[in-house]
Amino acid sequence: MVVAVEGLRKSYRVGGRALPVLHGASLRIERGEFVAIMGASGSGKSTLLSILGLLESYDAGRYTLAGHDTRSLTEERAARLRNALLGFVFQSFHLLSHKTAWENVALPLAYAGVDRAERRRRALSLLARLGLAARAGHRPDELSGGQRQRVAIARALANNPPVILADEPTGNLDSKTSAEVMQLFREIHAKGRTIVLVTHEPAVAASADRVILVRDGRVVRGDASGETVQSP
Amino acid sequence: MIDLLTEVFEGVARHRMRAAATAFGVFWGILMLVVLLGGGRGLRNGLDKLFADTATNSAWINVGRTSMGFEGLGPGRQLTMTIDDVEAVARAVPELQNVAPRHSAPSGLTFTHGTRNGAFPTYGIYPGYAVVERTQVLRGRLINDLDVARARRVVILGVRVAQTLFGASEAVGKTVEIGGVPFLVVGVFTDAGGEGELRRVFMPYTALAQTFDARRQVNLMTATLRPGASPERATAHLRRLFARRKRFDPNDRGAVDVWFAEQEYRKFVALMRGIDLAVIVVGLGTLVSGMVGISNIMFVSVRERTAEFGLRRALGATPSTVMAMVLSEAVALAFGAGGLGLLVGVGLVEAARRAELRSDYFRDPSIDLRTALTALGVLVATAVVAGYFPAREAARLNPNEALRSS
Repeated sequence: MVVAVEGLRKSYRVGGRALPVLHGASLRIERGEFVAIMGASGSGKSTLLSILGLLESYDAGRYTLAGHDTRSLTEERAARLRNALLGFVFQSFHLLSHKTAWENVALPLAYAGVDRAERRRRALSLLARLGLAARAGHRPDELSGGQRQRVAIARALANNPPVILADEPTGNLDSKTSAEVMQLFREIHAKGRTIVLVTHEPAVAASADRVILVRDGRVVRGDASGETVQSP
Repeated sequence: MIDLLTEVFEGVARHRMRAAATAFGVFWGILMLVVLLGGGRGLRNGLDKLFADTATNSAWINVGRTSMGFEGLGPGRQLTMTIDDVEAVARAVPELQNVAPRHSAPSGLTFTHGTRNGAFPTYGIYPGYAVVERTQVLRGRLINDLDVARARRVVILGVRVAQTLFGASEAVGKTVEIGGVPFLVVGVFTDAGGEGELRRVFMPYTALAQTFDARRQVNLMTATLRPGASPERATAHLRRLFARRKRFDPNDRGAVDVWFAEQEYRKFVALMRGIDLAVIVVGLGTLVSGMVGISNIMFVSVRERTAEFGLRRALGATPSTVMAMVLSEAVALAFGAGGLGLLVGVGLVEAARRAELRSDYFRDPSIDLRTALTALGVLVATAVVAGYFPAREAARLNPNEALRSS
C-alpha cells in the first residue's frame, strides 16, 4: 500500500467561517496502480490531491504515504518527503520561464542534493527518453504546449519517485497532444510507477486502472483496489 | 553554494532595472558616506596642521583702524604698535606670558655668505616668540634675553636658508651679511608650519631696530596664555589697556584684534564634532534608505514569484532553502552595490590625496579602511534584517495556494 487515507477532513476558512471541503474521505492505492480521481467542480478532488501531495494539511483523519504517517509533519520534513516520494504534473505545466528545459527537469534533483553535472546528465537522459533531446536547451516559451507538458513529466520523473500525482495534466492541451501525453503516462505506469491523476475528462480517466469518484467531499466509488470502476 | 549563487544571479537579473535602481541607491549612499568620511579626515588633517606649528595657548595681537570717534578724535584713525606697547602688555596683563614683538625687516635685504646669496623674510623678535611659534632648534640655540638686552647682531636661520647660504657646511658660528651688515649665525631651526616657515630668519628685535631703523615700531605682538587664565578676561584687559594708550573707545571692536588659538581651536573642534555628527546622520540615513530599498524590492520580488516559490516547495525546496534564497538576493544586492560604492569612494578619496588637493583647512583626505569596511558590514547586516521579512513571507507561503496564484 503506497497511499492509505482514512476519514480525511478538511475545511478552509472563508470570511471567518469554516467551509468544509472534505467530509471524511477514505481511499487506498496499491503500489504500481494507475488511478484517476474524478468528480464535479467543487467536489473536493483537487483538495484531496493536494493533501496526497503533502501540499496541504488536513484537519482530521489519517493519511499514510509509503509507510510515513503524515499527520504531524513539519514543513521541512514534508518538503523532503515530497522530493523523495512524489512527482507532480500540473495542468498549467508550472515550468520556470527563465530556466531551460533541462534546468527545469533538474530542479527536484537540486533539492535532493545531486551535483550539477549529474543533474544535467540525468535531465538530458530523461528528455531524450521523452523525445525532447533537441529541445533541452530551450526555454519554456520556445516550446509547444505538448512539449512543455512532457518537460513537466520529465521533471516529475527526475528523482525517480514511486508516486506521480497529476492534476488535470491534459487540461491545457488539444486532443491529439492529450492522447500523446496519456500514452506517456501509460508507458510510465507500465514501468511500475504509481500514478494518481485528477481529471474531469472521461476519456483521460479511461487510461486508468481504477476511477475514484469524489462527491461532496467524500469518496463515493472506487476507494480501494479491486473495486474497478468504469468512468461515470 | 554555486547553485545558490546562480539562483541569486538569476533572481536579480530577471528584474534588472528595478534591481539596478535599488543598487544605485545603495551604491550612491555608501559612496557619499566614504567621500564624506574621507573629506572629514582631510578637514581634520588640515586643521591639525594649521595648529601644529602654533602653541594652542598662543595669543596674536594687532591693532587696526578705529571705527568710532573718541574724545574729539574722528573714526578711521590707523593705529600703530610700538615696543612700549609690548612692554606695557607684559607688565599690565597678568593673564599673558611670553609677550613678544615681531617686526619685519625692510624688504629686499640681501643675505650674503661668500659667493652665495639670497633674500628671506626676516623678523626681529623676543625669545617668547619662539614659544608661540613652536620653533625647534636643529643646531646651536634660539634668540635669548641677553641677545635682546645687548642688541647683539645674531640670527637664527630657517633650515632652508642655511642650506641656501651654507650648503652642506655648518652655518652655526659663521657670519652672514644682511644688507651689508655682518650677523653671527647662532642657530638653525625647523618648524612644523611648512616650507614657508623654513625660509625665515629671526634676530633680536633690538638688533633689528638699531640696524634697520625700526623706530620702535612693531607689526605684531604675540604671547601665550598663562595656565588656567581666561582668554576672555585677557582680551578685556588688552582692550582696556590699548584703549587708554591709543585713545580709542573701549567698545571699538575694530581698533584692536586679539586672536587666541585656543578659542579658534575650540571652534574648529566643535565644527569637527558637527561634521562627525553629520557623517553619522548621513551614514544612518544611507543604511536606513538602503534597508528600505532592499526590503521593498524583495517584497515585490516575493509577491511576483509566489507561484515559483510554490513550485519550488512542491518539488522539494524546504522553507529554509527558500528563505536562504531570498536572503541571499538581499545580501548580494547590498554587498555588490555597497562594495562598489566603497571601492569607488576609496578610489576618489585616494585620487584627491594623490592630486594633493590642499588648502589651509584641508589636506591629505583619507579613509579609515576599518571604518569603511565596518560600514559595509553593517549595511550587509542591515540587508539581512531587510531581507528577513520578505524571506520569511516566501518561506511561509502555503505551496498549494502559491501554485494556484499564477
